[in-house]
Amino acid sequence: MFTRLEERIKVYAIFGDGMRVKPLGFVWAGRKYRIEKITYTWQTRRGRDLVQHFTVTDGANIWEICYNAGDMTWQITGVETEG
Amino acid sequence: MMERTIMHVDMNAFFASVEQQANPHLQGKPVMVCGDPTKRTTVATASYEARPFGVKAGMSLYEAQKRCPQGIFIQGNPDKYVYTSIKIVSIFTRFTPLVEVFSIDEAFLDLTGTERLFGSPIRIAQTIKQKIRRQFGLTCSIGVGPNKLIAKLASGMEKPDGLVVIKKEDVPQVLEELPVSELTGIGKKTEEALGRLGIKTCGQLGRFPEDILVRLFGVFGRNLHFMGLGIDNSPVLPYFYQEKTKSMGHTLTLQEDTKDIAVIKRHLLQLSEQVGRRLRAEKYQGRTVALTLRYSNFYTFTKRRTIERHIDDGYEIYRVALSILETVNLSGYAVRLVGVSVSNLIKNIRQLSLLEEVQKREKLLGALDQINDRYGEFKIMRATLLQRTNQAGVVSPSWRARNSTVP
Repeated sequence: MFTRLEERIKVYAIFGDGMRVKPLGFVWAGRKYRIEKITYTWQTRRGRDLVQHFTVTDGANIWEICYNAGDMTWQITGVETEG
Repeated sequence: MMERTIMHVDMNAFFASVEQQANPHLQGKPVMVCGDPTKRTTVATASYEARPFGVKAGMSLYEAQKRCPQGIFIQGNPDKYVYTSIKIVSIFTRFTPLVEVFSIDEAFLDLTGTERLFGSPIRIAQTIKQKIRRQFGLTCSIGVGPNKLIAKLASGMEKPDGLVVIKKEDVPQVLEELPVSELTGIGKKTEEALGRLGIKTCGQLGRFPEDILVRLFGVFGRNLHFMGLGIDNSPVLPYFYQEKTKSMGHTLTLQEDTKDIAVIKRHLLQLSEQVGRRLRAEKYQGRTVALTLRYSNFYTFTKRRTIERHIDDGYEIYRVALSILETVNLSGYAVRLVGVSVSNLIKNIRQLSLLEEVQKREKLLGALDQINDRYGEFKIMRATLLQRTNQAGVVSPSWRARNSTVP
Protein backbone atom coordinates (compact mmCIF):
# COMPACT_ATOMS: atom_id res chain seq x y z
CA MET A 1 0.00 0.00 0.00
CA PHE A 2 1.26 3.43 -0.93
CA THR A 3 0.79 6.11 1.70
CA ARG A 4 0.67 9.73 0.55
CA LEU A 5 2.62 12.22 2.64
CA GLU A 6 3.46 15.87 2.39
CA GLU A 7 6.36 16.58 4.71
CA ARG A 8 9.47 18.71 4.37
CA ILE A 9 12.65 16.63 4.61
CA LYS A 10 16.39 17.18 4.59
CA VAL A 11 18.13 15.68 1.58
CA TYR A 12 21.77 15.38 0.65
CA ALA A 13 22.14 15.62 -3.10
CA ILE A 14 24.50 16.39 -5.95
CA PHE A 15 23.57 19.40 -8.08
CA GLY A 16 24.92 19.28 -11.63
CA ASP A 17 24.41 21.41 -14.72
CA GLY A 18 21.04 23.08 -15.12
CA MET A 19 18.25 21.15 -13.45
CA ARG A 20 20.33 18.02 -12.85
CA VAL A 21 19.82 16.92 -9.28
CA LYS A 22 20.72 13.56 -7.81
CA PRO A 23 19.50 12.85 -4.31
CA LEU A 24 21.81 10.51 -2.39
CA GLY A 25 19.97 10.19 0.89
CA PHE A 26 17.50 11.89 3.20
CA VAL A 27 16.57 12.37 6.80
CA TRP A 28 12.97 11.74 7.71
CA ALA A 29 11.37 11.37 11.13
CA GLY A 30 14.80 11.51 12.75
CA ARG A 31 16.16 8.62 10.68
CA LYS A 32 18.70 8.70 7.93
CA TYR A 33 18.02 6.74 4.71
CA ARG A 34 20.60 6.08 2.01
CA ILE A 35 19.21 6.08 -1.53
CA GLU A 36 20.36 2.94 -3.27
CA LYS A 37 18.64 3.63 -6.59
CA ILE A 38 16.52 6.26 -8.27
CA THR A 39 13.91 4.14 -10.06
CA TYR A 40 11.95 6.87 -11.84
CA THR A 41 11.94 10.63 -12.30
CA TRP A 42 9.46 13.11 -13.73
CA GLN A 43 8.73 16.81 -13.58
CA THR A 44 5.67 18.92 -12.89
CA ARG A 45 4.91 22.58 -12.43
CA ARG A 46 3.58 23.98 -9.20
CA GLY A 47 2.49 27.36 -10.44
CA ARG A 48 5.65 28.88 -11.89
CA ASP A 49 7.98 26.52 -10.02
CA LEU A 50 9.48 23.47 -11.64
CA VAL A 51 9.24 20.42 -9.40
CA GLN A 52 11.47 17.39 -9.95
CA HIS A 53 9.98 14.13 -8.64
CA PHE A 54 11.98 11.02 -7.80
CA THR A 55 10.91 7.50 -6.91
CA VAL A 56 13.77 6.10 -4.87
CA THR A 57 14.58 2.94 -2.95
CA ASP A 58 16.83 2.20 -0.02
CA GLY A 59 16.79 -1.46 -1.00
CA ALA A 60 13.68 -2.36 0.98
CA ASN A 61 11.28 0.57 0.81
CA ILE A 62 10.02 2.70 -2.05
CA TRP A 63 9.73 6.43 -1.53
CA GLU A 64 8.57 9.39 -3.55
CA ILE A 65 10.41 12.61 -2.89
CA CYS A 66 10.43 15.89 -4.79
CA TYR A 67 12.56 18.99 -5.15
CA ASN A 68 10.91 22.34 -5.77
CA ALA A 69 13.44 24.39 -7.74
CA GLY A 70 11.48 27.59 -7.02
CA ASP A 71 11.81 27.64 -3.26
CA MET A 72 14.63 25.05 -3.13
CA THR A 73 12.80 22.74 -0.75
CA TRP A 74 12.55 18.96 -0.58
CA GLN A 75 9.43 17.05 0.36
CA ILE A 76 8.59 13.43 0.91
CA THR A 77 5.33 12.76 -0.93
CA GLY A 78 4.80 9.03 -0.49
CA VAL A 79 6.12 5.78 0.92
CA GLU A 80 5.44 2.13 0.24
CA THR A 81 6.91 -0.54 2.44
CA GLU A 82 7.59 -4.06 1.27
CA GLY A 83 4.69 -6.49 1.65
CA MET B 1 5.98 9.67 -56.11
CA MET B 2 8.26 8.46 -53.33
CA GLU B 3 6.94 5.41 -51.49
CA ARG B 4 5.85 6.35 -47.98
CA THR B 5 7.38 4.83 -44.86
CA ILE B 6 5.14 5.14 -41.83
CA MET B 7 5.97 3.92 -38.35
CA HIS B 8 3.50 3.31 -35.52
CA VAL B 9 4.85 3.15 -31.97
CA ASP B 10 2.63 1.70 -29.26
CA MET B 11 3.85 1.73 -25.67
CA ASN B 12 3.19 -1.62 -23.98
CA ALA B 13 0.73 -1.43 -21.06
CA PHE B 14 2.00 2.12 -20.65
CA PHE B 15 0.68 3.30 -17.25
CA ALA B 16 1.20 -0.11 -15.61
CA SER B 17 4.73 -0.42 -17.04
CA VAL B 18 5.64 3.04 -15.71
CA GLU B 19 4.44 2.00 -12.24
CA GLN B 20 6.34 -1.30 -12.44
CA GLN B 21 9.45 0.57 -13.45
CA ALA B 22 9.09 3.07 -10.60
CA ASN B 23 8.38 0.37 -8.03
CA PRO B 24 10.51 -2.78 -8.48
CA HIS B 25 8.22 -4.63 -6.02
CA LEU B 26 5.52 -4.55 -8.72
CA GLN B 27 7.62 -6.13 -11.46
CA GLY B 28 6.32 -9.49 -12.65
CA LYS B 29 3.03 -9.01 -10.79
CA PRO B 30 -0.51 -8.36 -12.08
CA VAL B 31 -0.79 -4.58 -11.74
CA MET B 32 -3.82 -2.50 -12.63
CA VAL B 33 -3.70 1.27 -12.83
CA CYS B 34 -6.99 2.95 -12.00
CA GLY B 35 -8.43 6.02 -10.27
CA ASP B 36 -8.68 6.04 -6.47
CA PRO B 37 -9.12 2.30 -5.66
CA THR B 38 -11.17 3.20 -2.57
CA LYS B 39 -13.74 4.98 -4.75
CA ARG B 40 -15.74 4.11 -7.83
CA THR B 41 -13.29 3.78 -10.69
CA THR B 42 -12.30 1.75 -13.74
CA VAL B 43 -9.09 0.08 -14.88
CA ALA B 44 -7.05 2.40 -17.13
CA THR B 45 -4.29 -0.11 -17.94
CA ALA B 46 -3.59 -3.67 -16.91
CA SER B 47 -0.06 -5.06 -16.94
CA TYR B 48 0.71 -8.05 -19.14
CA GLU B 49 0.71 -10.25 -16.02
CA ALA B 50 -2.94 -9.24 -15.35
CA ARG B 51 -4.21 -9.80 -18.88
CA PRO B 52 -4.39 -13.63 -18.78
CA PHE B 53 -7.05 -13.16 -16.05
CA GLY B 54 -9.23 -11.32 -18.56
CA VAL B 55 -8.69 -7.87 -17.06
CA LYS B 56 -9.01 -5.13 -19.66
CA ALA B 57 -8.88 -1.33 -19.77
CA GLY B 58 -12.29 0.19 -19.06
CA MET B 59 -13.38 -2.66 -16.78
CA SER B 60 -14.90 -1.68 -13.43
CA LEU B 61 -12.70 -2.17 -10.38
CA TYR B 62 -15.26 -4.62 -8.97
CA GLU B 63 -15.13 -6.79 -12.10
CA ALA B 64 -11.31 -6.62 -12.22
CA GLN B 65 -11.03 -7.66 -8.56
CA LYS B 66 -13.38 -10.57 -9.21
CA ARG B 67 -11.31 -11.78 -12.16
CA CYS B 68 -7.93 -11.20 -10.57
CA PRO B 69 -8.19 -11.27 -6.75
CA GLN B 70 -4.41 -11.25 -6.37
CA GLY B 71 -4.14 -8.14 -8.57
CA ILE B 72 -2.44 -5.01 -7.27
CA PHE B 73 -4.48 -1.85 -7.84
CA ILE B 74 -2.50 1.37 -8.11
CA GLN B 75 -3.93 4.86 -8.23
CA GLY B 76 -2.66 6.42 -11.45
CA ASN B 77 -0.39 9.46 -11.46
CA PRO B 78 -1.32 11.44 -14.61
CA ASP B 79 1.60 13.87 -14.21
CA LYS B 80 4.07 10.99 -14.40
CA TYR B 81 2.52 9.55 -17.57
CA VAL B 82 2.12 12.91 -19.30
CA TYR B 83 5.77 13.82 -18.59
CA THR B 84 6.98 10.43 -19.82
CA SER B 85 4.83 10.67 -22.95
CA ILE B 86 6.19 14.15 -23.78
CA LYS B 87 9.76 12.92 -23.35
CA ILE B 88 9.11 9.89 -25.56
CA VAL B 89 7.60 12.12 -28.26
CA SER B 90 10.76 14.24 -28.09
CA ILE B 91 12.77 11.07 -28.91
CA PHE B 92 10.60 10.58 -32.04
CA THR B 93 11.10 14.16 -33.21
CA ARG B 94 14.86 13.55 -33.41
CA PHE B 95 14.12 11.41 -36.48
CA THR B 96 11.29 13.34 -38.15
CA PRO B 97 9.25 16.47 -37.51
CA LEU B 98 6.19 14.62 -38.83
CA VAL B 99 5.02 12.96 -35.61
CA GLU B 100 1.31 12.53 -35.01
CA VAL B 101 0.58 11.86 -31.36
CA PHE B 102 -2.41 9.56 -31.62
CA SER B 103 -2.92 9.19 -27.86
CA ILE B 104 -0.83 9.31 -24.68
CA ASP B 105 0.81 5.97 -25.56
CA GLU B 106 0.69 5.84 -29.38
CA ALA B 107 2.20 7.86 -32.20
CA PHE B 108 2.69 7.75 -35.95
CA LEU B 109 5.98 8.87 -37.52
CA ASP B 110 6.35 9.68 -41.21
CA LEU B 111 9.88 8.50 -42.00
CA THR B 112 9.61 8.99 -45.75
CA GLY B 113 12.96 10.23 -47.04
CA THR B 114 14.85 9.90 -43.74
CA GLU B 115 16.76 6.74 -44.69
CA ARG B 116 19.90 8.62 -45.84
CA LEU B 117 20.05 10.49 -42.55
CA PHE B 118 19.21 7.80 -40.03
CA GLY B 119 19.34 4.45 -41.83
CA SER B 120 16.61 1.96 -42.53
CA PRO B 121 13.24 2.05 -40.70
CA ILE B 122 14.32 -1.11 -38.85
CA ARG B 123 17.44 0.64 -37.62
CA ILE B 124 15.42 3.70 -36.55
CA ALA B 125 12.92 1.42 -34.77
CA GLN B 126 15.73 -0.36 -32.91
CA THR B 127 17.30 2.97 -31.90
CA ILE B 128 13.94 4.30 -30.65
CA LYS B 129 13.34 1.11 -28.65
CA GLN B 130 16.83 1.33 -27.17
CA LYS B 131 16.47 4.99 -26.19
CA ILE B 132 13.05 4.45 -24.57
CA ARG B 133 14.33 1.41 -22.70
CA ARG B 134 17.50 3.15 -21.55
CA GLN B 135 15.76 6.36 -20.48
CA PHE B 136 12.60 4.92 -18.92
CA GLY B 137 13.02 1.13 -18.76
CA LEU B 138 9.86 0.80 -20.89
CA THR B 139 9.14 -1.35 -23.93
CA CYS B 140 7.10 -0.56 -27.01
CA SER B 141 5.81 -2.39 -30.07
CA ILE B 142 6.68 -0.84 -33.40
CA GLY B 143 5.04 -1.40 -36.75
CA VAL B 144 6.34 -0.13 -40.10
CA GLY B 145 4.27 -0.03 -43.26
CA PRO B 146 3.46 1.98 -46.39
CA ASN B 147 0.66 3.86 -44.59
CA LYS B 148 -0.88 4.47 -41.14
CA LEU B 149 -3.41 1.64 -41.44
CA ILE B 150 -0.75 -0.98 -42.16
CA ALA B 151 1.79 0.44 -39.69
CA LYS B 152 -0.78 0.25 -36.87
CA LEU B 153 -1.75 -3.27 -37.91
CA ALA B 154 1.93 -4.25 -37.84
CA SER B 155 2.57 -2.81 -34.35
CA GLY B 156 -0.29 -4.90 -32.99
CA MET B 157 1.11 -8.15 -34.40
CA GLU B 158 3.86 -8.65 -31.83
CA LYS B 159 3.29 -7.58 -28.25
CA PRO B 160 5.05 -6.76 -26.06
CA ASP B 161 8.31 -5.36 -27.41
CA GLY B 162 7.67 -6.32 -31.04
CA LEU B 163 8.99 -4.96 -34.31
CA VAL B 164 7.08 -5.88 -37.47
CA VAL B 165 7.67 -4.49 -40.94
CA ILE B 166 5.04 -5.00 -43.65
CA LYS B 167 6.32 -4.11 -47.10
CA LYS B 168 3.95 -2.67 -49.69
CA GLU B 169 4.22 -5.76 -51.88
CA ASP B 170 3.33 -8.03 -48.94
CA VAL B 171 0.15 -6.14 -47.97
CA PRO B 172 -2.33 -8.24 -50.07
CA GLN B 173 -0.93 -11.48 -48.64
CA VAL B 174 -1.08 -10.19 -45.03
CA LEU B 175 -4.66 -8.97 -45.45
CA GLU B 176 -6.07 -11.97 -47.34
CA GLU B 177 -7.02 -14.09 -44.30
CA LEU B 178 -6.95 -11.32 -41.68
CA PRO B 179 -10.29 -10.83 -39.85
CA VAL B 180 -11.75 -7.37 -40.60
CA SER B 181 -11.97 -6.66 -36.86
CA GLU B 182 -8.15 -6.45 -36.75
CA LEU B 183 -8.22 -3.19 -38.70
CA THR B 184 -8.40 0.08 -36.81
CA GLY B 185 -11.72 1.77 -37.48
CA ILE B 186 -13.76 -1.40 -37.77
CA GLY B 187 -15.70 -1.82 -34.54
CA LYS B 188 -18.06 -4.51 -33.40
CA LYS B 189 -21.13 -3.07 -35.17
CA THR B 190 -19.35 -2.66 -38.52
CA GLU B 191 -17.89 -6.15 -38.15
CA GLU B 192 -21.41 -7.55 -37.62
CA ALA B 193 -22.80 -5.58 -40.55
CA LEU B 194 -19.99 -6.83 -42.80
CA GLY B 195 -20.54 -10.36 -41.49
CA ARG B 196 -24.16 -10.20 -42.69
CA LEU B 197 -22.76 -9.52 -46.17
CA GLY B 198 -20.55 -12.59 -45.87
CA ILE B 199 -17.42 -10.50 -45.35
CA LYS B 200 -15.19 -11.91 -42.63
CA THR B 201 -11.68 -11.18 -43.89
CA CYS B 202 -9.92 -8.12 -45.29
CA GLY B 203 -9.35 -10.02 -48.54
CA GLN B 204 -13.12 -10.47 -48.93
CA LEU B 205 -13.68 -6.82 -48.02
CA GLY B 206 -11.25 -5.62 -50.69
CA ARG B 207 -12.96 -7.70 -53.38
CA PHE B 208 -16.51 -6.74 -52.39
CA PRO B 209 -18.13 -4.28 -54.84
CA GLU B 210 -17.38 -0.74 -53.69
CA ASP B 211 -20.75 0.65 -54.87
CA ILE B 212 -22.69 -1.74 -52.59
CA LEU B 213 -20.52 -0.75 -49.60
CA VAL B 214 -21.16 2.95 -50.37
CA ARG B 215 -24.91 2.30 -50.70
CA LEU B 216 -24.98 0.55 -47.32
CA PHE B 217 -22.43 2.57 -45.30
CA GLY B 218 -22.37 5.96 -47.07
CA VAL B 219 -18.98 7.69 -47.33
CA PHE B 220 -17.54 5.19 -44.84
CA GLY B 221 -18.28 2.44 -47.37
CA ARG B 222 -15.62 3.86 -49.68
CA ASN B 223 -13.15 3.91 -46.78
CA LEU B 224 -14.03 0.30 -45.97
CA HIS B 225 -13.29 -0.70 -49.57
CA PHE B 226 -9.84 0.92 -49.42
CA MET B 227 -9.17 -0.52 -45.96
CA GLY B 228 -9.83 -3.99 -47.37
CA LEU B 229 -7.17 -3.28 -50.00
CA GLY B 230 -4.74 -1.90 -47.40
CA ILE B 231 -4.86 1.58 -48.92
CA ASP B 232 -4.75 4.60 -46.61
CA ASN B 233 -3.67 7.98 -47.96
CA SER B 234 -4.27 9.91 -44.74
CA PRO B 235 -1.23 12.01 -43.82
CA VAL B 236 0.70 11.91 -40.55
CA LEU B 237 -0.47 15.13 -38.95
CA PRO B 238 1.81 16.75 -36.36
CA TYR B 239 0.05 19.02 -33.87
CA PHE B 240 1.01 22.16 -35.79
CA TYR B 241 -0.99 20.94 -38.83
CA GLN B 242 -3.99 19.75 -36.91
CA GLU B 243 -7.37 21.45 -36.96
CA LYS B 244 -7.89 24.51 -34.85
CA THR B 245 -9.39 24.00 -31.42
CA LYS B 246 -13.16 23.89 -31.80
CA SER B 247 -14.16 23.62 -28.18
CA MET B 248 -12.70 23.39 -24.70
CA GLY B 249 -14.29 21.46 -21.90
CA HIS B 250 -13.93 19.36 -18.79
CA THR B 251 -15.96 16.48 -17.40
CA LEU B 252 -15.97 14.97 -13.95
CA THR B 253 -17.29 11.59 -12.84
CA LEU B 254 -18.63 12.19 -9.34
CA GLN B 255 -17.27 10.06 -6.53
CA GLU B 256 -20.83 8.94 -5.86
CA ASP B 257 -24.10 9.48 -7.71
CA THR B 258 -26.02 12.44 -6.34
CA LYS B 259 -29.43 14.07 -6.50
CA ASP B 260 -28.24 16.99 -4.39
CA ILE B 261 -28.58 20.07 -6.60
CA ALA B 262 -26.11 22.04 -4.45
CA VAL B 263 -23.41 19.41 -5.06
CA ILE B 264 -24.13 19.41 -8.80
CA LYS B 265 -23.93 23.22 -8.88
CA ARG B 266 -20.59 23.19 -7.04
CA HIS B 267 -19.14 20.76 -9.58
CA LEU B 268 -20.53 22.95 -12.38
CA LEU B 269 -18.78 25.98 -10.92
CA GLN B 270 -15.49 24.10 -10.55
CA LEU B 271 -15.61 22.83 -14.13
CA SER B 272 -16.64 26.26 -15.47
CA GLU B 273 -13.73 27.92 -13.66
CA GLN B 274 -11.33 25.30 -15.11
CA VAL B 275 -12.69 25.87 -18.62
CA GLY B 276 -12.41 29.65 -18.16
CA ARG B 277 -8.77 29.29 -17.04
CA ARG B 278 -7.91 27.24 -20.13
CA LEU B 279 -9.71 29.64 -22.47
CA ARG B 280 -7.88 32.65 -21.05
CA ALA B 281 -4.51 30.84 -20.99
CA GLU B 282 -4.80 30.15 -24.73
CA LYS B 283 -6.46 33.52 -25.47
CA TYR B 284 -9.78 32.05 -26.60
CA GLN B 285 -13.32 33.25 -25.96
CA GLY B 286 -16.48 31.31 -26.76
CA ARG B 287 -20.16 31.97 -27.29
CA THR B 288 -21.76 28.53 -26.90
CA VAL B 289 -21.82 26.77 -23.55
CA ALA B 290 -22.70 23.07 -23.35
CA LEU B 291 -23.74 21.14 -20.28
CA THR B 292 -23.36 17.36 -20.24
CA LEU B 293 -25.01 15.15 -17.64
CA ARG B 294 -24.88 11.41 -17.20
CA TYR B 295 -27.43 9.73 -14.97
CA SER B 296 -26.73 6.71 -12.80
CA ASN B 297 -28.31 4.50 -15.51
CA PHE B 298 -25.60 5.83 -17.91
CA TYR B 299 -28.14 7.84 -19.96
CA THR B 300 -26.02 10.77 -21.17
CA PHE B 301 -27.09 13.96 -22.88
CA THR B 302 -25.71 17.39 -23.78
CA LYS B 303 -27.65 20.65 -23.97
CA ARG B 304 -26.23 23.86 -25.43
CA ARG B 305 -26.98 27.56 -25.20
CA THR B 306 -25.51 30.24 -27.43
CA ILE B 307 -25.28 33.74 -26.02
CA GLU B 308 -24.76 37.06 -27.80
CA ARG B 309 -21.16 37.77 -26.84
CA HIS B 310 -17.97 35.79 -26.45
CA ILE B 311 -16.89 35.01 -22.89
CA ASP B 312 -13.91 33.53 -21.05
CA ASP B 313 -14.87 34.20 -17.43
CA GLY B 314 -15.51 30.98 -15.48
CA TYR B 315 -18.33 32.55 -13.51
CA GLU B 316 -20.12 33.72 -16.66
CA ILE B 317 -19.71 30.24 -18.15
CA TYR B 318 -21.16 28.86 -14.91
CA ARG B 319 -24.19 31.16 -15.12
CA VAL B 320 -24.97 30.01 -18.66
CA ALA B 321 -24.45 26.34 -17.66
CA LEU B 322 -26.74 26.91 -14.69
CA SER B 323 -29.44 28.39 -16.93
CA ILE B 324 -29.24 25.18 -18.99
CA LEU B 325 -29.40 23.04 -15.85
CA GLU B 326 -32.60 24.82 -14.83
CA THR B 327 -34.28 23.49 -18.00
CA VAL B 328 -33.44 19.90 -17.06
CA ASN B 329 -35.92 17.91 -15.00
CA LEU B 330 -33.70 16.18 -12.48
CA SER B 331 -36.44 14.77 -10.28
CA GLY B 332 -35.88 11.09 -9.69
CA TYR B 333 -32.48 10.91 -11.37
CA ALA B 334 -29.11 10.65 -9.65
CA VAL B 335 -26.26 12.30 -11.57
CA ARG B 336 -23.05 10.35 -12.21
CA LEU B 337 -21.07 12.71 -14.46
CA VAL B 338 -21.08 16.45 -15.10
CA GLY B 339 -19.38 18.21 -18.02
CA VAL B 340 -19.03 21.79 -19.20
CA SER B 341 -17.61 22.92 -22.51
CA VAL B 342 -17.41 26.12 -24.53
CA SER B 343 -17.44 26.24 -28.33
CA ASN B 344 -17.97 28.82 -31.09
CA LEU B 345 -14.49 30.05 -30.29
CA ILE B 346 -12.53 33.08 -31.42
CA LYS B 347 -8.85 33.64 -30.69
CA ASN B 348 -6.82 36.75 -29.87
CA ILE B 349 -9.81 39.07 -30.18
CA ARG B 350 -10.84 40.98 -27.11
CA GLN B 351 -13.47 43.70 -27.21
CA LEU B 352 -12.51 46.53 -24.90
CA SER B 353 -15.47 47.37 -22.72
CA LEU B 354 -16.47 50.90 -21.86
CA LEU B 355 -18.33 49.74 -18.77
CA GLU B 356 -16.33 50.33 -15.62
CA GLU B 357 -17.79 47.23 -13.97
CA VAL B 358 -16.60 44.98 -16.82
CA GLN B 359 -13.14 46.61 -16.82
CA LYS B 360 -12.85 45.95 -13.06
CA ARG B 361 -13.90 42.33 -13.52
CA GLU B 362 -11.30 41.81 -16.28
CA LYS B 363 -8.59 43.29 -14.06
CA LEU B 364 -9.65 41.05 -11.21
CA LEU B 365 -9.57 37.97 -13.44
CA GLY B 366 -6.12 38.95 -14.69
CA ALA B 367 -4.87 39.27 -11.10
CA LEU B 368 -6.40 35.91 -10.11
CA ASP B 369 -4.78 34.25 -13.15
CA GLN B 370 -1.40 35.73 -12.26
CA ILE B 371 -1.63 34.39 -8.69
CA ASN B 372 -2.68 30.92 -9.86
CA ASP B 373 -0.01 30.93 -12.58
CA ARG B 374 2.59 31.75 -9.97
CA TYR B 375 1.49 29.46 -7.12
CA GLY B 376 -0.55 26.71 -8.83
CA GLU B 377 -4.19 25.98 -9.72
CA PHE B 378 -6.92 26.83 -7.22
CA LYS B 379 -4.52 28.65 -4.91
CA ILE B 380 -7.02 31.51 -4.99
CA MET B 381 -10.65 30.71 -5.70
CA ARG B 382 -14.25 31.27 -4.76
CA ALA B 383 -15.00 30.09 -1.23
CA THR B 384 -17.62 27.68 -2.64
CA LEU B 385 -14.79 25.76 -4.27
CA LEU B 386 -12.98 25.10 -0.99
CA GLN B 387 -15.07 21.92 -0.95
CA ARG B 388 -14.19 21.13 -4.53
CA THR B 389 -13.39 17.65 -5.78
CA ASN B 390 -9.67 17.16 -5.96
CA GLN B 391 -9.51 13.79 -7.62
CA ALA B 392 -6.50 13.12 -9.78
CA GLY B 393 -8.43 10.73 -12.03
CA VAL B 394 -6.73 9.08 -14.96
CA VAL B 395 -5.42 10.70 -18.12
CA SER B 396 -7.91 10.45 -20.94
CA PRO B 397 -6.67 8.03 -23.62
CA SER B 398 -7.30 10.79 -26.15
CA TRP B 399 -4.77 13.09 -24.49
CA ARG B 400 -2.09 14.22 -26.95
CA ALA B 401 1.27 15.81 -26.37
CA ARG B 402 1.46 19.09 -28.28
CA ASN B 403 5.10 19.82 -27.75
CA SER B 404 8.06 18.69 -25.72
CA THR B 405 7.84 21.11 -22.81
CA VAL B 406 7.17 20.08 -19.25
CA PRO B 407 3.44 20.36 -18.43
